[in-house]
Amino acid sequence: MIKDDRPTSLDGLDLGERGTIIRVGCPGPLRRRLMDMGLTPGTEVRLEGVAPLGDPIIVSARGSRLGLRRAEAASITVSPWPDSACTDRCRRRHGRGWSNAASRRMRVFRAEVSRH
Amino acid sequence: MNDASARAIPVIAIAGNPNSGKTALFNAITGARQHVGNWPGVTVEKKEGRVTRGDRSALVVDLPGTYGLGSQALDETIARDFITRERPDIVINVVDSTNLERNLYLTIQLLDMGVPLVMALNMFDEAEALGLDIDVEELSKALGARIVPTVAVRRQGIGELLDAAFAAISAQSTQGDSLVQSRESQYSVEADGSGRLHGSAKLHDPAIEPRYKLAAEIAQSVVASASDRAAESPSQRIDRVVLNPWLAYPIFFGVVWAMFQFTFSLSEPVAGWLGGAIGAFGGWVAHVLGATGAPEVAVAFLVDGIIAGLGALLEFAPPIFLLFFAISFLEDIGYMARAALISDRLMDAVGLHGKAFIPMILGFGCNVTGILAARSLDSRRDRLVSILVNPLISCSARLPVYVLFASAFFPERRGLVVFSLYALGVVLAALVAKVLSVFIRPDASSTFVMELPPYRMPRISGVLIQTWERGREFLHKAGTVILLAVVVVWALSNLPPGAAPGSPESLIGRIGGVMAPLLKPAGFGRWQAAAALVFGAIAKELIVGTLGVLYGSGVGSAPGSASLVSAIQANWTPLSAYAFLVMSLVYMPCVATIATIRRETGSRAWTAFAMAYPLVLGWALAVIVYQVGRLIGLA
Repeated sequence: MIKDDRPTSLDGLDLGERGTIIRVGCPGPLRRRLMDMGLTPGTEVRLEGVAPLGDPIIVSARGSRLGLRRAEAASITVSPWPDSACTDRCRRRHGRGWSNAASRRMRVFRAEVSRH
Repeated sequence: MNDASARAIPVIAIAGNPNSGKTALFNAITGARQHVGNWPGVTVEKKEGRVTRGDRSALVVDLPGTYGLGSQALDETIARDFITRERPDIVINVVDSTNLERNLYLTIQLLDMGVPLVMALNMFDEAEALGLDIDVEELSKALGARIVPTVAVRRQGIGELLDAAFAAISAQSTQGDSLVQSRESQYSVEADGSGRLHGSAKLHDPAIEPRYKLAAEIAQSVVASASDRAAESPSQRIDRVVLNPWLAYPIFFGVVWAMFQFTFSLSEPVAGWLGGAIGAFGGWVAHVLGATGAPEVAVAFLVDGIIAGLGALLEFAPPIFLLFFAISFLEDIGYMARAALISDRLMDAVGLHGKAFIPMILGFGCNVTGILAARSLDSRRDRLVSILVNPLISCSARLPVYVLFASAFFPERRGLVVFSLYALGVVLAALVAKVLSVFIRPDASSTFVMELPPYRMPRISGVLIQTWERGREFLHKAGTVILLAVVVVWALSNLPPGAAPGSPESLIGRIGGVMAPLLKPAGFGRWQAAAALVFGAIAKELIVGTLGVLYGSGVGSAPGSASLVSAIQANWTPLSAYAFLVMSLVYMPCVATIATIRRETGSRAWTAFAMAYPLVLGWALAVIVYQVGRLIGLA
């Protein structure tokens, strides 16, 4: 099954899913702050978790982890990596070599398979 | 660098990301007592210290921790202005070795500004423990800057770092070709006539992406990772429990409960011992002075006024210091950032910010400290609201009042009564915050973006330094305002000459007599109660002290003293006692808190508001408690 990889907002990612930031669309100072903290277009992000009441969310990017409210995350557009929303158990099963690149290759492969 | 050579002593500035160990490095260099917290944004003002290495010395300035230098946020403005205007002779850029990519962004910004720079590759041991192999030489070549690996908390590499800094100051020579310099042509639009980027005006938005791209490239080329980067870090594993939807709040409340348990169970014996020691000291002084034939009034002033008053104050020091110790410990571990995260939603419901949780918690120790901690809030509105509601949080000075009345009237339910007052304070703070946030317009930066630092084992010295920094505010207050107030209370209760001490004819009695009718609807319309509240506005702990004077057992009488308890039992009913406690909780911030609010808000109007609204609210609540209680048949 291929996951929908159309662009979504950062808080629209599944738990554990990865994506690449396409656009940071919030107004001036906040945009500057988010980008200074490393959330620039082209950055790989992963939705790490969600606070107990559903907000804020926790994302990891560039080796650090940030908590931000859904309202702010909604202004960040990401392109999700299909199949990246795999569980930790699944990642362990794939072993150490299960890098992001591998998952990207897998996506192309699966796209091929589904087309035929 | 004209201004640099004109200075008598070179200036070293320390710049770096929050949580990169900047303040620990500052402490290691200067030996200064200074706050180190595993809490993003603890250093809002810049701090200074001195360092001497061999025959050379320098002024060291610790700048606020920043992720970048381009934004209008207060901390970043302070850091940027210092670097561009004061032009330090050298900037020590502290970098977290475990997170090179994110930290190098600031480094590149600094280099783009043409800042002379030595890098402290801090937490080098942690990076090694994570299996990260950093090619220091390669990194140095790429950046064109001298790099020294350090472990600031263990003072490793500090000497070498200082040598490098001083060498760079004397050299101030041009640096060789570097990746950063050679790519300057990319920004020809931004570069000024000299072809060099500097000044805040040049730090445009468009440069963020290429800078981060370069940071990522450099980080990738110099770091070889032995372990699997995708593997879960220990912090992530801990967070899976700490931030688990089912466990997060039980853990959160458990931590808060444990913190208070630690504070009060440990402080009670210490405070009791201190009280006993001071009492014995007072007795000894009275005995010695009595033997020398000193005038009786002077002896009474010294023993019943000053020594007993100071003794009463010193009894508050243990709970305050223990609470601040617990909070500093939790901060250094990294739990407070998580607490802010999970309380953000709750705080948002009352119009506040998750980070406002810290000022609230500190307020339980001393409101002054709590209000000062509101500096870490980015938005002016959040900060103002946090400051205005902080006095509703029951500071430890109010505890003796609760304990005195609770043990006089509710000996079996003492804990419950005290807890109910703490809870009432929190509920009121939330309600008032909600109301205020409706009326105060939100500003653009009213958002929650916060880094979750990795969990770290705190260094006890760091925790102690921070505890001292915070507790010092209280001691300062105790040493000046309160001591003076104790003397005034003693004098007023003994004047005019001829009036029996603490009688209705004394000055204190007359003041109380004027106020008493106002308090009648609340059930405690006696001049003693009114006088106690008047002096309690100077410092809440004076409520007990004043009652002690008025019921004739001395200013510094311990809360449990039998004569005071029986006097109170004779003059209050359980219902009016509870109404009195509600009034004591709410009615007015103490003088030191008011002064702090004035300083921090910079507004007379808000300060007046902060004094007035609790007075009205406290009186109204006390009246409601008493009247409703009477209606439903309580006495």
